[in-house]
Amino acid sequence: MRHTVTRHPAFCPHVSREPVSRPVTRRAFIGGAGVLALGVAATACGSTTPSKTSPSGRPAGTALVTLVAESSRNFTRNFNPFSPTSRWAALKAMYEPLMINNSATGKLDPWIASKAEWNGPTRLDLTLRNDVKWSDGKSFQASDVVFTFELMKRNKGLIGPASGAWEDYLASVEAVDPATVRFTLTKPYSPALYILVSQFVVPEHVWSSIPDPVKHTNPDPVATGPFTVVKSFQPQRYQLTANPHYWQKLGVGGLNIPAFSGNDQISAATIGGQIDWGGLVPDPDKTFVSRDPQHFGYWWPRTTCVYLMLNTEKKPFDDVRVRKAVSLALDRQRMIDIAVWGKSAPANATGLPSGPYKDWIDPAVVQEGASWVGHDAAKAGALLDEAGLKKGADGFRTLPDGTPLKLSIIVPTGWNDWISSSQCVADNLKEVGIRVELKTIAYETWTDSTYQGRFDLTLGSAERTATPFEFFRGMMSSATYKPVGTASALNVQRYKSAEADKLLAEFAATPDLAAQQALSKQLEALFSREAPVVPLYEQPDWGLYNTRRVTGFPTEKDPYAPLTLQSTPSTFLVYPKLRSV
Amino acid sequence: MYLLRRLGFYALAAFVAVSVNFFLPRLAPGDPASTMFANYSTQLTPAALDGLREAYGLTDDPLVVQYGRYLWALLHGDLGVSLSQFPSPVTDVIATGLGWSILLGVVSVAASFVIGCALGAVAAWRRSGIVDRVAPPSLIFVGSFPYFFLALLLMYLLAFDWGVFPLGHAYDDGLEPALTLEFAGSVATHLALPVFTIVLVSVGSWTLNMRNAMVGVLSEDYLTLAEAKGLAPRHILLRHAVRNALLPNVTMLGMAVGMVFSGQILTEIVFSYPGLGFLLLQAVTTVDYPLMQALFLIITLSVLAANFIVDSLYALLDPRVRQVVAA
Repeated sequence: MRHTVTRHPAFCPHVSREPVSRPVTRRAFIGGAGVLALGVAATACGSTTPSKTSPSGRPAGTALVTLVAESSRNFTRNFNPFSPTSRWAALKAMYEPLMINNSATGKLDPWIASKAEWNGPTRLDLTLRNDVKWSDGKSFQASDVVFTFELMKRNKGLIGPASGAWEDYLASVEAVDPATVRFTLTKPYSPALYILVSQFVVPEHVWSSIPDPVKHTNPDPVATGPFTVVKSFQPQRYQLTANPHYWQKLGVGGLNIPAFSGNDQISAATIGGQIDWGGLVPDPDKTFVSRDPQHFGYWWPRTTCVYLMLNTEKKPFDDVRVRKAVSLALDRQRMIDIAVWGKSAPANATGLPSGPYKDWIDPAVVQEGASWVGHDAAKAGALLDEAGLKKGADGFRTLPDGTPLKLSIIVPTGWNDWISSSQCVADNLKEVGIRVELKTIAYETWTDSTYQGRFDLTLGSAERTATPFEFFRGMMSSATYKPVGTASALNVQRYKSAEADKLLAEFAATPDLAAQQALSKQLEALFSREAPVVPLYEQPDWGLYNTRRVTGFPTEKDPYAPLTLQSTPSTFLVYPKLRSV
Repeated sequence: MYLLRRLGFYALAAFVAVSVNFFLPRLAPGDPASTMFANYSTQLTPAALDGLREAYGLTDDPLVVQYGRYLWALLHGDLGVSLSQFPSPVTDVIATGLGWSILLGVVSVAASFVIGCALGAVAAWRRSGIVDRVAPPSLIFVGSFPYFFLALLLMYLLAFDWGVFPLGHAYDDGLEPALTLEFAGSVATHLALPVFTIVLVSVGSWTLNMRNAMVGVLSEDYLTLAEAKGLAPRHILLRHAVRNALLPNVTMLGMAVGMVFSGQILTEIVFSYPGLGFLLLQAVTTVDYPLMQALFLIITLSVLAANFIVDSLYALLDPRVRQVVAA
């Protein structure tokens, strides 16, 4: 029942999708201190080394855009959009969602559906564009949308943004006419709008004859997206060219997606100018932009936050005083300077990132909450004393019953900005007498441990959604709460509040924006009072571009869409704006 | 007869290995379900999870039943479906890297074997000559660097900074695999640097072993006799000294070939070379049982096959082996 498509290929050493909208470059910072990075820093101030790659050599308008989309090695040909292991392009260049939640503008952009409208509390009507065609030339119609939802109802193993909608609130989907889809809900549930329109659509005339859609690898996709023709597929790279029937004009010829085995390889290719979009470099001003300031650029908007997750099912984190003391012990600016080269800002006490939710955040809560998200070690110590965590003879604190407090903070191997931040957390907590050991573990193990609630401390982030509803639902509601040992991707800190449940239910029941915003402010106040997690700093969405061969990327000056290749299907917003040089 | 008996032994070894391949991954910590969580992230509802478990073929049947099913499938050549690349069959996943791994492995092992043995032979033949004084110590010195560091350094200097070699991959991204001179040339230039790094770190031990074996052989009476008979030095070196000194290195060769897939992981990672080593790492971290089993199977079979070939070669190179067995 999630809203955003948060299935991302993650970096070396395996293909996997990252949780809660983690940007792909997350694990990309392995190379920070590596040989390459050192060399790069040393040569960064020198002359701009000419690129070893030759220009595309193709006529204008037909250039292939080279992307760092997935670091998976040895690509296998899987373009099934419902599969978690499908190639990146399936959801980012082929199968289009009905509408796109644009996290750069905070708006819901019409896409192959032009309008969504509530007609009563449980009826949502969707108007489709009439000029959209499938890549085989057949028309895209309401019956395809109905078929997609019915297919997901029949096959539980098909995963998409609207997975779980049938169990939770969806009663029926019907085609009123070829251009109108009507969703009927079992109960008033306003967040359904964003979830249902995020669903991608598959063609009925193709998928109705596929015997087992869960096991289908869909080697030759038929979709509505811009790049549906698999021109070449090799284990080390694949190339897609334009859908001849695409409903918008395209200024580039297709996509070229090479495989990389690790961060150093990506950094080398990025700095070498071989990549047009995406990639990875440490400290981009020094290592990247300086090499070719005319063409190389980056834009890191901040659309979610990094949170310190404290397992509230475990002592002493069941005590809000301890959670706030931990928060007060942390030097957020130091974390930002070390982990993300100063390119962020400390998070506020509402837990919401200030950019995308500026209309939702209550300034009063921010101001009052500053008392627990600032850096004040003395106050932290006093709070810990008050909570009964006295310092022992060795200077480290014990639980009220005298048991020594030995905690660990877990983060996935290779996620270097998070590892640096966690190291700062461990250092800061040591200063107030809490012993914390930093443990870096394999990504899968980390996912398993955090989802099952088997950890003391870890870092986390939140989904990028249109309203703060999902954020508070994932942080404080009993709907996402699972006991330790039962897996849950949300609410890993395992916090629930009856008050939050009540406010969320009211939020879901009203489609009125002003009422929702008022409820959000109450939820923010509750969050600031209870501190279910500790907000650290705003998470930059890594995004790099190189305009030597292709222009038109979103930038800080022209923020029409996110630049990241990994969050939600926002890449669809960018493709029509790209132009070959 | 000798070879037949060896074959019987290999069949038994293969069966044991196949069984270990099944049980060992399952004894290690971890659970394929965690892969699913990692993959599917927040969209995984309980109903979806059940649907997927069924599709993935994950059951709670007793291990023995699963083992029986695995053996049965294996007998039919069915390696199953990869969990981390679901729903691609394991054979498809492996096909993406097998050829490249074999190419990289065979070329690098052959190169280090030939170069190492030649250097070792020359070093021993001209004792205290320039080769003897420089080659073994400097090669051992280079070989004792951490491989990862050495490979990254070479990649940084030769590929990234000077651009002499490509940065990675098995051939130019702009090309399609074809039987053309251009493609073959691209494969060769992409192969050169990875092979060079492997040779650099592994040639030292070949050299040293060969040199030591040669020193032993050279002091044998039959070489003194050969010299006394007035045979040409070149003839003595190649036909009598090298042939005998080669034996221990041939044994090592069998082991080296067997280690090709597992030993090349780092090379393949550093140079983004699309081989199997990286797949193995991926299979282990994602708890992909079917992929792990299949890769272990390939490693096992290649070690056995290499050893079988070495056994056979031995019989050719050393007549005594044949005689002992016949006696």
